[in-house]
Amino acid sequence: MDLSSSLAAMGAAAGALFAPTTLLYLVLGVAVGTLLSVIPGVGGLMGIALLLPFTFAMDMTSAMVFLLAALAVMSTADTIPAVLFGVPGTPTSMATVLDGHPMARRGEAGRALGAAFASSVAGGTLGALALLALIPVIVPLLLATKSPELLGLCVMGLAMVAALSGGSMVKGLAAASVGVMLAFVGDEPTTAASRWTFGTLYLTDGIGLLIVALGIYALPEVADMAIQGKSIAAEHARQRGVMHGAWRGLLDTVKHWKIVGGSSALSTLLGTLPAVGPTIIPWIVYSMTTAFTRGPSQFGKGDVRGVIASESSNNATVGGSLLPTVAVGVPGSAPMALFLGGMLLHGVAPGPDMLTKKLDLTYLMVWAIVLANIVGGLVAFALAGQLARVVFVRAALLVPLISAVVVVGAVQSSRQWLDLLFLLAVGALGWVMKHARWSRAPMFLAFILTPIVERYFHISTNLHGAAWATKPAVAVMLALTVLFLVGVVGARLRKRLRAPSAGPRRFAPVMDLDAGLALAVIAAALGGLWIATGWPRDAAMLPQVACAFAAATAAVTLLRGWWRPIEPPKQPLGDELHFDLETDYAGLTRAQIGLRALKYLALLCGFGLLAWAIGLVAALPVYVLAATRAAGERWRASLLMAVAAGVVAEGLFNRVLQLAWPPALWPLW
Amino acid sequence: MPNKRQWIKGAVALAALALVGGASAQGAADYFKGKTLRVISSTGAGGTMDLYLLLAMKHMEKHLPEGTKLVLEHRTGGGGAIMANYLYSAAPKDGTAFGMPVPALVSSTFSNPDGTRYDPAKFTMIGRMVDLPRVFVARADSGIKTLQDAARVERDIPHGIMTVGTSLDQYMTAVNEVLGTKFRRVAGYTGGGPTFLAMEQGEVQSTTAEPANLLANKWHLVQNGTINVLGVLGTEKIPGLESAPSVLDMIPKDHPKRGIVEGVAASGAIGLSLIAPPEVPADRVAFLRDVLAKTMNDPALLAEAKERKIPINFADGARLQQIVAEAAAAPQPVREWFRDLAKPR
Repeated sequence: MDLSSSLAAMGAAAGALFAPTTLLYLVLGVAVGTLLSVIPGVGGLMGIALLLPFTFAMDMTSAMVFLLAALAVMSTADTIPAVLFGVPGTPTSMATVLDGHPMARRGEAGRALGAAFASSVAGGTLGALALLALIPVIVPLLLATKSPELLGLCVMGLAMVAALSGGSMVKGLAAASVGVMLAFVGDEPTTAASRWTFGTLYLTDGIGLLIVALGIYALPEVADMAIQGKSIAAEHARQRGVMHGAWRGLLDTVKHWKIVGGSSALSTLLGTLPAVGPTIIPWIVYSMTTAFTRGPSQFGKGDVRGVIASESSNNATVGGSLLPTVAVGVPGSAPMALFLGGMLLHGVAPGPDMLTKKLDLTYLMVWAIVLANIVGGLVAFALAGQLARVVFVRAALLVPLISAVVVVGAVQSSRQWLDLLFLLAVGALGWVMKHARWSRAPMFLAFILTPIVERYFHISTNLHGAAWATKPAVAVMLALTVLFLVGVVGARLRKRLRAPSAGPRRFAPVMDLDAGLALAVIAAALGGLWIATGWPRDAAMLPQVACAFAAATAAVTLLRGWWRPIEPPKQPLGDELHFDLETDYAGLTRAQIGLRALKYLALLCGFGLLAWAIGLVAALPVYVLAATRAAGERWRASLLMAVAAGVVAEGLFNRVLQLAWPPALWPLW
Repeated sequence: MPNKRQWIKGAVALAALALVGGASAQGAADYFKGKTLRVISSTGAGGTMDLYLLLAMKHMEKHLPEGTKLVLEHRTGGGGAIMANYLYSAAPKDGTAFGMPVPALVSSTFSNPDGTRYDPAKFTMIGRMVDLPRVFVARADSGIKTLQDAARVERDIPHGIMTVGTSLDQYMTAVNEVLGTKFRRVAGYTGGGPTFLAMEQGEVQSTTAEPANLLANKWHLVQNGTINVLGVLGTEKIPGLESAPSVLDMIPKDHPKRGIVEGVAASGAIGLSLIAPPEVPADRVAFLRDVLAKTMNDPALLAEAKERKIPINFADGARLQQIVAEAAAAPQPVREWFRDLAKPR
């Protein structure tokens, strides 16, 4: 297809998009996508699954536009709960939590959301426009990216855990190896070995991404809110208005246009590779931004550039992942898989024709993404102004509601009660990691990348033996990885040499949270290593390496924690980045913290047990009542909250969204 | 020759039967009226299974009583066992929950006896939308045009599959064992789409494709000579692939391992079917079977399927019951073959 006919198709597609009915469906898609993505666990995949049947009645163009509009904006509005509560609406906004939530806590929710929406719009638009440039090369690019190249790329991504390890590299690596070990749970495809499944069917497909995404960040944040007993943002922020600073966030985005541009371009490109996917890409982009940003930074503590990098990235991936879906019928993400289902249902067959004969339709999809991003940014902005007020709501009322939503989201993972058990277990691990200062970012990145690395490792070695690493593109990627790692380690060594000595040290073993976690990881790693000796060689190799690595890094962490300076350092290691959220308990004693944490956990367990007995929606108001009462609310307020929560749960979850639940023992209705 | 009285008796009995039948159909219709029926998918959202379920749901509503709604839900994992276990023992047995199991509904009870907690023959069969045989395909530049070529070559042929011991591996290994083809498994691809893409890329030289995907999305590769169709392993002819050789036709009836290939083909015969939990009241089963039959014979559905190149090969509930019962009656050596293939190695 020559340039002029290409341009003609582009123009015709834009014209078709602005037909009144199509435009109406676009706005409708944006509105529904925005609303769905605000509810953690329910939006994204679930959202598109719910919307698909509604497209039956639409014509093909309207259906495509409607679905894509909803899909394109899901990574825009899912930022709202990520920033306000530290609970990502969909897993694609996990990296936004790292800087967005600390900003909200210091009263900069408006600025964080302003920057997030502006970068979402910019990222989504730039990403879609970058597609126009990629269309002519996408098929050769896709055909050339085989398993060894994907492996090289994922190894590069995995090396980013070093950049995310923050203050203590060894601790970061230990955290990452926890993520690696968790990722190996489940059946291994090349040997049919069941790894660490303990005979349960639940674990054969591994620990669900949704469970880990909600457990590792969301639950610990809510637990800390319960422990602190305070609203999210300090009172002084109230006087300035909730969305104060939104304009500043917008200007931040303009100021950091290079981050927006780089992050969008990289994310679109990575998005075109079906293997990588939208959960991973924002993390890679975020880590690269932190690694390559010069000058002072506050990454992990509320640096607006972190929000900008992550948010421009997750919207840009949508455009990227559209191409493999339409060109070869291999979707890059679960929501895209559903979109593909929608395409097939409406008689649109994916294939090279979509890039030649049916290019106008592909262009229409691209324009729909562009326009939906713009409309979505505006809608999210309007919605955030209202929603952001909740940062001032007192914890006693907010905690039960967010916890209930997280629980509802988590059981959507596989609709089994074990989802709940694993949510609590991962949540407890996340809380301990947070307070022992084991950064959770490398853990999560390792968790999502490991399965892909292992998969392509086995395919590559099966086909090429060790020669896979000598393919030119792979060799370049591996060399870059080594250079990157040398650079990171070198920079750390130089910093350490320049830092003032902490004075004499002595060996003083104490059993604190850090030591407890290190010992638990060592025990788990050794236990895992022992179990793995019974597996076939190919299934055991990488898990055994991971276990040995985990045990070694956790042991070094333990010993370094016990080898303390006799005098506590006068200057805290403030300039060292720690890629994780921190909570200031302001005056609470350790016993108080422990007790409140246990109380929160006990209430949540009670909720789980009651849900198991009588059904989740029936148990929800009871939990809200118990939790608000336990937090010292009056009967009247508690009852009101419980009834409201019950009505909303029944109406929204059962009637509107018609969610499926794990079966209860004695269902109440 | 029956006399007049007998005729009258017979007529009365028939009328009564019709009345009762009509009443019970009416009773079932009344029961479902206004209810939400949950249609449960056993594989990830957006796949072939969803394509069929959504197609059925789209046209089924008009054959259901007014106000009856259909909702799609996914219960995935465990190679389909999570959904089948749920449907067998936890889902409501009143006809309001039914779903589409994986085609390996029966063979997974052989390969994963611990994980599958159901007796496949006891499910209530509603009907089959399409059978799901698989088509052996190879890159033309591999020089392999037929399954005989694949047996004659000296070297092995890298063949893309997903997980060792599951569907694609069963097809490949059965054909290797019976026809002597030299397909070598390259496991680890995440689905039919990525496996096919790996063959398009030239990373593997062959794989087995779903007819629906091959005909609707990849046929241009066959037409332009990039990909050769080697043969079909299934029990019935596939419209559009009538000329492709049938693997079962190549195996003598008395071949000692024919049972294995038949066992593999049985999964394809179950294909994409709708089943309900055991013990659903008979009148509601009859009603649901009737609704599915009407839906699958609905000219609007057939026209849409034709236009979108979605193959349909409807089998009613009784026929499906028979297919499943036959598959479940596989002899012990066949069961052991499935079990051994799924053993960790």
